[in-house]
Amino acid sequence: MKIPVLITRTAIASAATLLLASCGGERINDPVTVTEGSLTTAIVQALDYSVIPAVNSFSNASINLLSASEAFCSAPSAILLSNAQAQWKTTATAWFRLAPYRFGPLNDDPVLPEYIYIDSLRLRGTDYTATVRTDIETAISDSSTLDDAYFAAKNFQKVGILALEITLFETVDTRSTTTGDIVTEFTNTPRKCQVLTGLATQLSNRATTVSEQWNNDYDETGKSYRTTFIAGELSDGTEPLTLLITSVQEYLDYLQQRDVVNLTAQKAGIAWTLAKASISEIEQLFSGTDATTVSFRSLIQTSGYQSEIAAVDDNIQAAYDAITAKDSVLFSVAAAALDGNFKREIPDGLEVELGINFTDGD
Amino acid sequence: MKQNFTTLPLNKINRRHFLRTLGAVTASLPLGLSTEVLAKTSNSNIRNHEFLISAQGNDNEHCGLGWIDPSIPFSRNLTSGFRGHGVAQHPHQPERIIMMARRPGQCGIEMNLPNGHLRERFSTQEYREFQGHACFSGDGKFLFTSEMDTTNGEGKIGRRDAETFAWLGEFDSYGIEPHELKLMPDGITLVIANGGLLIDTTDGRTTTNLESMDSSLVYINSFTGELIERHKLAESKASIRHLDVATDGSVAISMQVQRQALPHQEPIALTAIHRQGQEIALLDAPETLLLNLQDYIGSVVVHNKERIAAFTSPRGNLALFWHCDTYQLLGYHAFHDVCGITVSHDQRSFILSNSNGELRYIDALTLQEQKRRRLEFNAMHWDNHLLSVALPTEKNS
Repeated sequence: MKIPVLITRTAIASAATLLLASCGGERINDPVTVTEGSLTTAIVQALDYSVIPAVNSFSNASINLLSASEAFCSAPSAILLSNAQAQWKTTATAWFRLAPYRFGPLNDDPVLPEYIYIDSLRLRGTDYTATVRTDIETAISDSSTLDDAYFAAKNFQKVGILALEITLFETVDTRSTTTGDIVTEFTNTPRKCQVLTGLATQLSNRATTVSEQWNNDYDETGKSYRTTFIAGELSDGTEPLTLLITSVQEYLDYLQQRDVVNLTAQKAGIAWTLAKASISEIEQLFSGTDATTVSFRSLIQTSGYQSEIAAVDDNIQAAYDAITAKDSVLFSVAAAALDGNFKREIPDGLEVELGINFTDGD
Repeated sequence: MKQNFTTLPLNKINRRHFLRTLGAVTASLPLGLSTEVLAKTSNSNIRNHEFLISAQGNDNEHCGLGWIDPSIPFSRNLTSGFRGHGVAQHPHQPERIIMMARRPGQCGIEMNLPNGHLRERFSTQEYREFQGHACFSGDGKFLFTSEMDTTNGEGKIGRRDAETFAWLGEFDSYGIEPHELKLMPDGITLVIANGGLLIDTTDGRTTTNLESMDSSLVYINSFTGELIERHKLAESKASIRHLDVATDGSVAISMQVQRQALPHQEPIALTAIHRQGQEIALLDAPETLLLNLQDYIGSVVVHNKERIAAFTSPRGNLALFWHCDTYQLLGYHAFHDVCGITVSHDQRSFILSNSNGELRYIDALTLQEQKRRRLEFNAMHWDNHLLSVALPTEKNS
């Protein structure tokens, strides 16, 4: 791992800590400063207490969504539809906690990255609702065999959480969102159940694959992505902390540029819940959980960057305030401000260089 | 394997190691290397030694012209006081290296390799701004610089004495905001990427003519300034900025798209090949790959022997390779914040650089990374353009 350039105000403290560590003299109550060791600890804890739980939570939720869909389709009823819809909301919420971590198994292939098959909006902010509606209508009305191969071959625009939302929360014929109408359509149109379970299977398969790679075997290396990430052995040579910070920063940029709260989960009506899940996840990544002993926040704080910490806190609070008020303009402003924190204050505080970034072209 | 290298002055390099790692002379030399240099390299007592050169730095204090010897390796930096952009090598005196300021710039410098001495510093004329690139005339007597008339935004090609850098005159670029320019294989024609953007002079970056931006690819006679050809892209919001020229005259060009001026998020081609007398041929790629590039290509180089046009996308963290003749996408390589790209002196590799001071070698035949050759220079923050230069070195020196 590349050792970050230490700046003057922490150089002495860091050197002292390194000296203590090298002499075996580091004590548990010593202030935690930015060293290669403490940064590695913070990264490991960020993975183990935030990123990987988000991966696993999404995987579990998608498996449960498949189960709920199959249960509903075995005997369509209002209660079982409500269960399936609730599980879709849980899955979407879990995705919005995972979405800031768009790297590794979610984004390995520049041509067909996994994440676009989960969340088609993420690619370029295009709302594919109309495409999905047409595709579901076609699947129901034609005579294609609706097996795994059929759904596996579908373009990214036609699968994932959006397609499942449209399938579960409205009818095909009149786009009615009334529970009775939806149950009746599923009851009278068995092929719609095949669409629902087919889409849910695909999502579950993808989420499981992502989880398997994070936890067990990444890209047939025999090592988990967690291990690869912590060891700093990423295939493109990116430093792990750079990748983590850049990923969150890009997500915040996406939130504010693509007006996500007005485009996502419109049928399910939980856009603001999803936005809150993302902000909550980012806050947790930054500050840690109850189990965290070394967080990015604590490292920055100990290094003396009090105003930077305050700026991040203010912007997180502003995002929560905008969510409470359901104000998409203020939410974009807050997301943009947090985006800036992940470009400047947080890298500065962690003494990590993200690179020139070529943001303004030339 | 990653290593952290410290800066080592050339005169402290182990001489035996230096000689052992000298590169072999190859039959195929980079375009523009002079016949005089070729004559020198045919001398059995002369070997060409490769250096990699780039503008570098991420703050005003450290910005400069950085160079490394990848075979030893060591890195050095000539502080410039400004953020540099394009670099060029004199065609007959290979030790002479030019770096131009990033646009809008006022300065250029000439450095002597390998001692790193500043030979000259030159500035714009009144009411002119440098636009980041320069190239030498075929005989090495003149330096052509891309410039802008600050009074009306018109593009100009400055013509300077290559020894004294005295301003001798200028030509129209026949467009707005000329950026990269290169000499064609005939040694007469200049090909110019007119970016078509006007910028706010108060901050030097904000584009002020999104509605009327006018990019073009222009060929002019470098002796007379006469317009030979002018070509435009169908997409008016794509700005042609960088280019490289193959030995057969094929020109690989790269663009950046001013997305804020477009009403849609559809992917737009950012790379193309042009041949004089023909239309610009856009290079196709899968939609998701194009979107990954985030509307910006930062640098381009042509591998003449393999007929490959290679491009970098620092925003997309990708280097991409197309065949110059079939226009087929041959592959891509993920590399964080990659922008600099050049062909190694022995023609066997593409070399990529990024803003973290890292270098990657991509085999020019297989387009697979040669992972054992990874290098990292902590003190370096490579900027847009990387140049491989060969310096004739006497065997017994």
